[in-house]
Amino acid sequence: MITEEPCPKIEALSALTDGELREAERIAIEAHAAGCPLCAPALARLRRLRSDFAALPQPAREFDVAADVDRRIGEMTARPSPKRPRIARGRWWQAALLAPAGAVAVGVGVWLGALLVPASVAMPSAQMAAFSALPPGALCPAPGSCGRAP
Amino acid sequence: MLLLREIEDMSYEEIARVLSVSEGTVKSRLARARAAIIEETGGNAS
Repeated sequence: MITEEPCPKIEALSALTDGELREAERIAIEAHAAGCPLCAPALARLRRLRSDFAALPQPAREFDVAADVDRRIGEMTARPSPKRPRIARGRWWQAALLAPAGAVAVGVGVWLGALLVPASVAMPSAQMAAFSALPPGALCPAPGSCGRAP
Repeated sequence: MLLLREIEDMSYEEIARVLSVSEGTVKSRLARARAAIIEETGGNAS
């Protein structure tokens, strides 16, 4: 049966293979494609493509990694961490002496460093020039015109 | 989009929601993707 109605778009044929068309539209397009020399092979190719996708091997979704993760966490928590430094028994007094000795050494270093710096440091004029209203290298036409005392 | 439809077996409505596009866009893009595959394979996808 050759139908006279215009061929549906490829979108409609594609949606037909997906079962996404409304019932009336589906019946109309199927009726047209049954007798259309263009739509019939196109629809057949679309359906074959769908069946090819359906035939692809499905990933094994029953695989569950949760048990493996639980097992590994159990292993990690069961054995002691080898990297943690441990103070051997009998040596605790050495650690007790080292802690205040380190604190004293840092304190002495800070005190000696403070002695090297005078209590009041006069900023050199060359460094203060960075805060001048005049940019470095600017020319001053007259002594009083640049904000300087003449 | 084709993978969502063929592999994940999602409906047009679900694909449109996941990808934030309209169902009409899903419909047309799926059709174009299929047409391109058929074109590439000469109609023998398998």
